Amino acid sequence: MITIYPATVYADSTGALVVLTGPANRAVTWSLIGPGSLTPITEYTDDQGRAAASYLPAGAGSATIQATYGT
Amino acid sequence: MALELLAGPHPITTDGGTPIASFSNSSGMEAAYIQGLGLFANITPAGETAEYCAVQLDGTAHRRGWRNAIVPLVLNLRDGGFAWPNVNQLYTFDVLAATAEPTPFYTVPSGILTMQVICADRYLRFSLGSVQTSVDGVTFTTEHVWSGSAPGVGNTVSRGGAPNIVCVSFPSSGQIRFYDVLRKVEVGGVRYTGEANRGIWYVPKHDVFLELTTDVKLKIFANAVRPASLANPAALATVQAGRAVQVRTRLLGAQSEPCADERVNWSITAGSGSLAEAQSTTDASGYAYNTLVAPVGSSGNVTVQATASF
Repeated sequence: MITIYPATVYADSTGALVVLTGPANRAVTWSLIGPGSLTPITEYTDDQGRAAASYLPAGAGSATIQATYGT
Repeated sequence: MALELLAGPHPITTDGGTPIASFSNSSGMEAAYIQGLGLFANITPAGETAEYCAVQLDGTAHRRGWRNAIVPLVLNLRDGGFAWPNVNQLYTFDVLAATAEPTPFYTVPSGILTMQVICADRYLRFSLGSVQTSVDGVTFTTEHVWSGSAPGVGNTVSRGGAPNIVCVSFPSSGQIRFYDVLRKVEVGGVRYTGEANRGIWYVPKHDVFLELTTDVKLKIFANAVRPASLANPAALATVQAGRAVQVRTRLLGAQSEPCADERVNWSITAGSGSLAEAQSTTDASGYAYNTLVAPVGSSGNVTVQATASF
């Protein structure tokens, strides 16, 4: 499950935190489809199964964030 | 060497540059480290008579007094400072004047005082290979047998960084141990300089050790183990694609003592994968940890390298 903080990201915002919750200790690959940039904070889930990335919007529109993790 | 050498060996010379011909060599405390003064010892400069000197950390000996044969000094944890045992009497030793008070504060009716430490409730000595205790300073019984390999005869004693801790050195084995006089136990593990010496003193203010070498030079050691070996990194679980696995290495000293708070650099030299940290720090047991991330869909071997500077 991916959660983004805040839930609504405005075009002129300074960024948002994207959190993946999944199985623990898995490699994670982040990807972004749409405007903006996505910077991984962690590239693997921790002992609680969490990984995070930072999303910075660029103009209006919608974007899709995907996270692929190991089985 | 097992401890990190910070400085030295410094030849001991007088402040006039005269090399010394001899350094006091008592069977008990060859010298005493006195904070603010230095290593207090009876020294004979070449061509001169013996005198009391305070030796600085750079080996320069400054004259403090003329009287001979006042060492060994007894570390006085009960009243502070040092005492001078003269056959069967104990005198308070004035470190600034470098002389003993004229009147003894303790006299035994018979026997010879051989203690090295005055505690609140007893006297201690370390000169016979164990910790020995006495209520009168003359008749001793064993209070504690040193752990592990026999360190040999304990020689110099110094303050250990807390009011109830003393530091004991063992010149033949190059060992250093700390002893809690209240709990009557060893504390803090064994340190090694790795060489025979004529005495080692702990300096709590700077957390360093002073070693008087067998050829009468002064070395300064950090209270930190000098790294000698770094183990190959090992994964703590099976490495497989799509998984993040903890890896670790261990940094040890020459006597297999753990090296704490040392930096370890990590890299991947072959294969695909990434490490969570480029550098990590060893813990109290000498272990440094990292996380190896094997990408989803990757295959083949990955080689992780850990390096440390020592």
